[in-house]
Amino acid sequence: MAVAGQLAVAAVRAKSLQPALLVARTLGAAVIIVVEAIGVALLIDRFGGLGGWATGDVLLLVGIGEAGLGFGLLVGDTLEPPAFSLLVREGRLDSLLVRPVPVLLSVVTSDVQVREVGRGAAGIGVALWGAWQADVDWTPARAAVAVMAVVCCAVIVLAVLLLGAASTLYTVEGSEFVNAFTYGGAALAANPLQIYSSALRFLFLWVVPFGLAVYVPSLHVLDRTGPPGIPASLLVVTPLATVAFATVAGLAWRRGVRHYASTGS
Amino acid sequence: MLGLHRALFAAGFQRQATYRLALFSGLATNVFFGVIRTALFLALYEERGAVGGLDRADALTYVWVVQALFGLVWATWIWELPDAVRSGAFEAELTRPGGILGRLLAFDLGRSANIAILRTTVPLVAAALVLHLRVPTSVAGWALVLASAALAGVAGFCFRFLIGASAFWTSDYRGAYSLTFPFLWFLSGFLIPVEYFPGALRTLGELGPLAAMLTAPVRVVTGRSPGTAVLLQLVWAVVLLAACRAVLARGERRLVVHGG
Repeated sequence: MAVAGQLAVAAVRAKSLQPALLVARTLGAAVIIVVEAIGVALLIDRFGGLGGWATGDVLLLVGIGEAGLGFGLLVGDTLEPPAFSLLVREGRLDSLLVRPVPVLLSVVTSDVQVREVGRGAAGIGVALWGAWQADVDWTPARAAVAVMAVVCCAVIVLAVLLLGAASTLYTVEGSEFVNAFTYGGAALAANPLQIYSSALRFLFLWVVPFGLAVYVPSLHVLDRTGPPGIPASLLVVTPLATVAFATVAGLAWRRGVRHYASTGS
Repeated sequence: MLGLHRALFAAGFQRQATYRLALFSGLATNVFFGVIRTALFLALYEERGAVGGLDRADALTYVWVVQALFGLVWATWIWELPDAVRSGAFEAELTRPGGILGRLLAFDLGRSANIAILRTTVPLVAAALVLHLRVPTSVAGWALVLASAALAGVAGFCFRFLIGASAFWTSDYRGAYSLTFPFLWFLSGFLIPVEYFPGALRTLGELGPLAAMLTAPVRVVTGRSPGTAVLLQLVWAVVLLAACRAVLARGERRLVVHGG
């Protein structure tokens, strides 16, 4: 664990060598979330609601999803398809394999995208803005549920990236389709689940459980009962599903690493 | 001159043909996002008439035109120019015949044309088969769509070029990108149609330079005064190309001073 800390600190220090760039990119990552939230607010105000939810309610979903995505990418950005594919193709993964540190730890600490803190912080800001509009009464229990939502969402993002990276160990070339489940997962979780068809609901509750991580906890924060088939009581399943999904991703990664036999370059 | 540009267009087309996996995964991603956005707009328009001058069919068409055009106007090779400037490889461009801007544009449009064949048609056609979209029913209407898509490609090139050109002055071009992209993305109407914007913001979105990338093409596809929309795109394409030329002239001088 101490080694991991040292590696991460080194990666962060590397970023701080170009402070102007770091500030601009962190700010940019935050601005895009704020702009997105303004767009969502404009849209829903214009229509007067979305599936029975008001602007503030939806902003809470947007905020939690983006905060989770931001913190997930902060740790897992090196696993994103283009970056990880390059790591494999250039043979740099091979040198990480011989280190006396778990490979995954070496990979994620080889480059820490500090700018994603901007996305995470802006996501929290948007969630609080939405909660304020929705008149949420912040009891300790609701705050704890919101924090758990962000954590679970971040873990699921990481797990999706890990699954993508594991597949890259077989295909070498990375697939942009992983983005459909990271950015797409956050985009999907940004809308109340009742607007989706049963197939999409099923996919994002029980296969890639973004809905369990964002929507179900939000039901609790907003004091809603949830639509038929997605009761608020599913909250107990949220951490379990997150752990199960992360375990599957971890096993896939281990298989991938065992299978990997260098690119020969 | 035209022969040179035609050759570069063909070379760009060929170059892009090698990225097949990227094409298909990009396509799948576009369709996925299209499905999510469709659900959103179907829910919004439930039991509602037109909003901001757009009815349900207009809004759904907007959703799929966004997916069809995003990969074209905001192509993934956006970093190649600033990287070349930073590494010094761009210097080779100075020694080649013909105007730099024209050559880069021809190559870029060639790559875009390759993407356009599948990545813009498949999502649109697939969506039109399942949903009620508003698309032209005449040959003239589709000719305007083609012209509009080409002009959107030119506008997209110009915006990418202008952001990338910041590399002539700073090594932190990604900083310039991070700070400008959110506003470009929003005002072009990639997040929500500019027709939903309030007052002056809507006018800026409908008539400003960013309209050339998405808002005008959506108007052309849905047939809301398509001729005017193409004309607007043409005017902005000329202005944007002039701006690129001016920026490049200054950038070149700067580059020579620094020696790459």
